[in-house]
Amino acid sequence: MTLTIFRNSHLIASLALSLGISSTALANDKLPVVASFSILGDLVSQVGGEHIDLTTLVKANGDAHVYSPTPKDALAVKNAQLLVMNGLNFEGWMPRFLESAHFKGTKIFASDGIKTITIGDGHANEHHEHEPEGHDHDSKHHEHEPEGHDHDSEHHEHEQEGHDHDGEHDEHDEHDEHDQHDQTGEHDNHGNEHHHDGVDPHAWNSISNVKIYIQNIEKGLSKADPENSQDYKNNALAYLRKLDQLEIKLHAKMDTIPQSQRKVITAHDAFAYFSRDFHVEFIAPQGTSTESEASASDMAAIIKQIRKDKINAVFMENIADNRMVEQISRETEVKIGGKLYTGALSEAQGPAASYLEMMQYNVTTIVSALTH
Amino acid sequence: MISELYSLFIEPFSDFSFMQRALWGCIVLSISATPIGVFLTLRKMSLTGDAMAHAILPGAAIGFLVAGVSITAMTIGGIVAGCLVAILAGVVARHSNAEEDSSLAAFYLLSLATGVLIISAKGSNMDLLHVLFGSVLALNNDALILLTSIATISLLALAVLYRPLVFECVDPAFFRSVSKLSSVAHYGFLLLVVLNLVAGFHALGTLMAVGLMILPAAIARFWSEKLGAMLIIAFATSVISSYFGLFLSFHASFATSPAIVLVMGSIYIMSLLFGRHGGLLSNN
Amino acid sequence: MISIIDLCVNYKDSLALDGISTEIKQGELVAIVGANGAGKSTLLKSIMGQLKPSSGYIDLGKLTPKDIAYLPQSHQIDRQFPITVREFVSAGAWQRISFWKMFNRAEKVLLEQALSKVNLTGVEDRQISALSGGQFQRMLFARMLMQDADILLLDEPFAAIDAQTTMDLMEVIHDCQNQGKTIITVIHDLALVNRFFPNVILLAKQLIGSGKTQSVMTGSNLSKAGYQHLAYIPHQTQTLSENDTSRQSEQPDGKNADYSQICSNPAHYEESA
Repeated sequence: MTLTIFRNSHLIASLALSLGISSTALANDKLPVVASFSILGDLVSQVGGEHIDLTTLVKANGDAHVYSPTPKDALAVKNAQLLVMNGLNFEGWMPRFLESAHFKGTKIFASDGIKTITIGDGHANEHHEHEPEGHDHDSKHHEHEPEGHDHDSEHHEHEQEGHDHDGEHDEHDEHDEHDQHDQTGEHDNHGNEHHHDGVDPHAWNSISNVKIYIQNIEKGLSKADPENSQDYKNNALAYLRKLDQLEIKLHAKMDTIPQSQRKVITAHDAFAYFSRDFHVEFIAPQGTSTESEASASDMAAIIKQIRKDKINAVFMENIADNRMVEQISRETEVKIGGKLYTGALSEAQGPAASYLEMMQYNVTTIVSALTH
Repeated sequence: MISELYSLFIEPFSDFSFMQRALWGCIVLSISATPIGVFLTLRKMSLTGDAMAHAILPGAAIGFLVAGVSITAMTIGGIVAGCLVAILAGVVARHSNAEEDSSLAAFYLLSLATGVLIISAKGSNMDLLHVLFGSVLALNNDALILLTSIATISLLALAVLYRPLVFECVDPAFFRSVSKLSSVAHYGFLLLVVLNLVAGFHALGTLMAVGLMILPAAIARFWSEKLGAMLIIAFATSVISSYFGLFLSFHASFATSPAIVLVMGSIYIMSLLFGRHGGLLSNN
Repeated sequence: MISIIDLCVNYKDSLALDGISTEIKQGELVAIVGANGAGKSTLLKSIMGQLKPSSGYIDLGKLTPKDIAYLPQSHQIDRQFPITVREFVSAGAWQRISFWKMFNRAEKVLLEQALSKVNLTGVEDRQISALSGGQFQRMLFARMLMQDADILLLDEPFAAIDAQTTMDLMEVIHDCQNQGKTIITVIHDLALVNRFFPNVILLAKQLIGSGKTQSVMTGSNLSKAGYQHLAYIPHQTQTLSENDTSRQSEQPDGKNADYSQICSNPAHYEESA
């Protein structure tokens, strides 16, 4: 009896809430916008200002690669008039989600028009061999697994398809080829960001790309809400100026390190565009996986690599790696860098709460690691 | 030829300090863990060792929750949990109809479940476990110090407890009649087991910690009937396996801990077949 | 002298001994006899001090538990344990050397003497797992001798060994008695008791009788203690019919045939001083 009452009141409350939400949205006349992840969210709010009612799906510190949308997200999407996505197949889970949430608005891809980098081709990813033959990283981490612990985040297979994607990419391609990357269970912190077929989607790590993002966002907002388009343009211009200033500042910072010394080992594979802009070589650690147990040859390989290429800093923050990284550092005297933000902003009190702060933080961190 | 052998067998260790540390860590742990393992198998308590390993988890987890990545906190937590389980199991067995092995099983399962609960309530379970369970390739100075201290303490304790332990194993009824040290020997020994497991976990991970204790002892039994010889054979087996495990890990890219334990396992199978005492194919 | 006064002992929630009162004088050779579950081992352990009485008490007079040597039942011993005879027997010196003192010359001499008394000289370095049943039992005796105690408590020392070894070990016991030691033995073999043990304590949780073997081991006492089949000892066939009738009459009176009459060899032993 109490349960029914409880359930009923629960129902009534949520009904009221949803009505409230949608009616507020309409009542306030603010444009309901949804951004796919925190970095985009920041950019969109910079341009949209007070005229929009923004919902970000993948929040700070979240992992946009394997996000599971919540019912609240579905509601926001349903009511949204504009959806801002990164594109380049970054949000693999999005197409299906949009369908089920009955999205009726306009979609824009912030990365439209940027000069893309293909994976497997071009700079930073040269060393990115993950020898799937040699290691079976699917094997359990601790053979002893009594803890009932979810090790089901298998090491993602890095499919190195040999094909070359030439210039033209159909950015509006939403085909679900990459649904296989939908994993349940906790995704490990980093390192195993899976590759998308062909094009590297992590375009936001380059300020020049983000300038294009801002322009695309402004166009999208203006189209959806022509009344306020002047404000959107002004906001965009102002922010672009900030981006210019940041770019100059950060390049100056980076230039304090001679280019030949700009070599860093990191398991992150999101730095291709950053690397292109700042001429930093990001080298993948040979063989080590962040999950399963390393072999001595893996350790030896990294150490040899560091010694041979005279690499100066290592960035690996997964706790499993920490002690190994310490050991590597002890043996090669390479510096251990701090945490880098590559696919999400930090929480508000953190060092990378906005895009500008994030880029500043990343560059500062890398530079200080490379400084003797 | 010589240089080839050198590069095969010596170079991995001379070139890389992590290999030296790994080997050293294994040797140090072998010093204390193998004799304890021998006594465990003689007392028919090998599975107890395994159960205790599980019992330690929540203690170490609590230590971590309380004090973060502090070896002291986790070690103490682990020791407390291990001892608690051992004592509870013994007490329950003595005062009820339950037998010691089933009550031990009950308590270790209980503590294991507690551990998992604590860990999952705290959230990021992966991080915690990685912190709790070390890797033989990443022995930092703290870990080496821990291993060395525990090895020293264990050796001293074993030297002191050797006679009581032996007598208590052979004829507990008699020993109890001449000495009050019987329970001291029994619980002191369990404490040593817990200490070595905790040190083993933290430095080398669960697989190695238990493996190093039990397998060499099991192997030694096939080759000697004398206690002294067993202790030496167990130690030697452990060191040799560690070396070859690291060797395989280096040259064939096997994950390290499993490689070491697998080498031990193969030696065990060889001993099972050809061992001088009780080997299936030998004349005994 | 050991006085046992109204001793009640619980063992695992049930009463193992119910109101035992008796005395054991110094230098006596006493057998504790009774059917399974009669409380024999319990009594020994209580004298040892290993079991606490739930009521009553045991008065050891001027003696302390240190003066008592206990030979427990041998089935609990791990015979596969890798230990030599020498090491095993040296456990008898525990109370003198504990875990830190060295095993010195004097102790070595004692060890040799103990081994020679039980005829085990020469096997010192053999593993105990390589011993025969008889040798093993001798070894246990040697350890007991090492203890050099005034009171010897033995729990079924002759279980599962051959007749020759039994006789040899009985000799050893006699020797000990001659040295003035008090010896209390739990024993199953009634023939042995009657031959060699002047005194007996007959138990069936309660005390059926204690004192001189001849007077205690009557047919009625024995049947009270749960022994029903004694009349059928094979080599006593000539007295069978007599015992048959007396048993059938079910009269627990002293007129029934004495056990000592049944036995062909009257006890030959010496009265202790």
